[in-house]
Amino acid sequence: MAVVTSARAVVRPRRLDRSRAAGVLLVLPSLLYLTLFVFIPVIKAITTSFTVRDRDDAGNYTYRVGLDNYAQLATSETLRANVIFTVLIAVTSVAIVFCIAYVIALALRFGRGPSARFLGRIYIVPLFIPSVIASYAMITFLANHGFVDGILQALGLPDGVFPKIVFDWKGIVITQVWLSLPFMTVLLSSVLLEISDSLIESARDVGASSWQIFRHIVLPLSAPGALIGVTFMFLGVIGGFTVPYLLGPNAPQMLGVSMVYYMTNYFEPYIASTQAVAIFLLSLVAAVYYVRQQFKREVR
Amino acid sequence: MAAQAPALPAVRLTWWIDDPRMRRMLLRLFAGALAVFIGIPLLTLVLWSFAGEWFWPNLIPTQWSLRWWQEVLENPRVTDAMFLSFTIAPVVTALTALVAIPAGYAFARLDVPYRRLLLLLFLIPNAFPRIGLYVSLAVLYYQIGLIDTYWGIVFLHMIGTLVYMTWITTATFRSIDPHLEEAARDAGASPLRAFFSVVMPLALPGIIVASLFSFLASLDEAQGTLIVGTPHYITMPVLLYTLISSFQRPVAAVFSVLLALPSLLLLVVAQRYLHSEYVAAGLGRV
Repeated sequence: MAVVTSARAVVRPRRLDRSRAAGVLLVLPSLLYLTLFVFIPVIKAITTSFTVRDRDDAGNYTYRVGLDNYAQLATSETLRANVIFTVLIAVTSVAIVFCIAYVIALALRFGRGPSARFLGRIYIVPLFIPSVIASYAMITFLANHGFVDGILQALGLPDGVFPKIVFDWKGIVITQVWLSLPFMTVLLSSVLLEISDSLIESARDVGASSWQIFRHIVLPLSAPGALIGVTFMFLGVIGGFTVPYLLGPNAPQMLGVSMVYYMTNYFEPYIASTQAVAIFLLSLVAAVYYVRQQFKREVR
Repeated sequence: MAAQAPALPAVRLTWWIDDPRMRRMLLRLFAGALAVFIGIPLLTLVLWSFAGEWFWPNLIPTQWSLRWWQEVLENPRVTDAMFLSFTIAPVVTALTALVAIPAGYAFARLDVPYRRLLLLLFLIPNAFPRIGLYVSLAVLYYQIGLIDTYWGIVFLHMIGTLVYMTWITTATFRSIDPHLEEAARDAGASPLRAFFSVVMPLALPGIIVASLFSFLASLDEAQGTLIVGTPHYITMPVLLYTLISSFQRPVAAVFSVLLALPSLLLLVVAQRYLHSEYVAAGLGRV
């Protein structure tokens, strides 16, 4: 990069200066937008989470800096349960999606014939369905006295054996799997496309079985790219609201739901901000990894 | 007695992967199961929207009717929400294009100072869990008076669309041969003329796809709009929250089908333009 720049600087010094000025000018609006609507709110949320509002005897509010909001998050039984619940849901959904999407991606990459082509057509559909609609479809599908329950009934099972899926953690996980399948599959497919056919053929020539090829070539080579998908989806599930709001239990709640309740129902921006910061911290490792890997892929 | 027992062949748990017949059968089963998992919930929704009477445990409605469609389409709350959604989405798309296309061009072609740092900043919105970002934004909106306003919603929708469109346009501009533009410049065209008559036509497919996705993302955005838009600015997906919570099953089903139509239309029309890279670049509506 540096070499290219200096070489061009020798040839056309004036144009380069103008190019830099034009570059700044063209990027500036979007940078301004991101500062106002992303960076400032995030900083604001962090400072708000350290702000404590006290009420004195006269009924006036006084504000001070303190860790009280965090103490409440850590000691409140409900809020702590919400944090654990959120992480467990995110990990479970990501693990399930990863396994199913990997099978689809393998079938798309190495499979031939009508089944593979059919898979390639249907896996993408949920990408085009808004999450509110997907959640509702899953409610009608999986609810007690819903469609699946009706089929079990038609098969002669007694009423009441159908487990509680909707308004339970299972409902959240199944719907998240449904919604995230296309994205993960697309990503894994593009990662698998980067593995060359010649590498696999040469392994086969020396007598490797399909399982050995998968275990020792395909899986390790696809791991870095696959992790981008895993981190991105983890961030998505942890920061989701729609699915747990419509399909989740009342307690424990996922942080997204509890945060919005604190914000809009209890008018507690301090606790809401603290939960937002907690969500940022919970996903920090995933976020850093995602940014670094995506950066490496995009900026070459 | 001491004779060595012949070594048993190692039992391989993975023998079936190398058996083509077994593999074909398993793949067929898997494809079928996936089709049921993806398709039947959507089908149930469509059935509900045309159900006149459907008592459990019947597997299909016992009476068919268009009554719910009529009820939904004549409901002023529904038409208001549709109108609002379709006035927000184009504005979001246009503003995003106006801001993101220049940035994408600069990142792809010009010597932007601190280019790497800036590109990193553009990834930040994706790295924060969305709902945390929206709640933080709502706290700010309360203080600056943007809560429950039209522009508050537009600017919130732009968080996702801006990042997405910037990445797509950067990739699109980078894929166009820079010599074409230089040739136009050498022939005496101004930078703007060279951009609009040489680069832009070549970049148009990528820009159109990014715009379509921005439009749909805005149309379908629900959680952020619910936080900053209530009680006065109810878009279609926000109204759907209410319909679902009030347990009016057929009404919510009709509305769902209505709301899913634009996206499904795109799926059918634009499937051949949908390069996987566009999708992977950050559309993941998870």
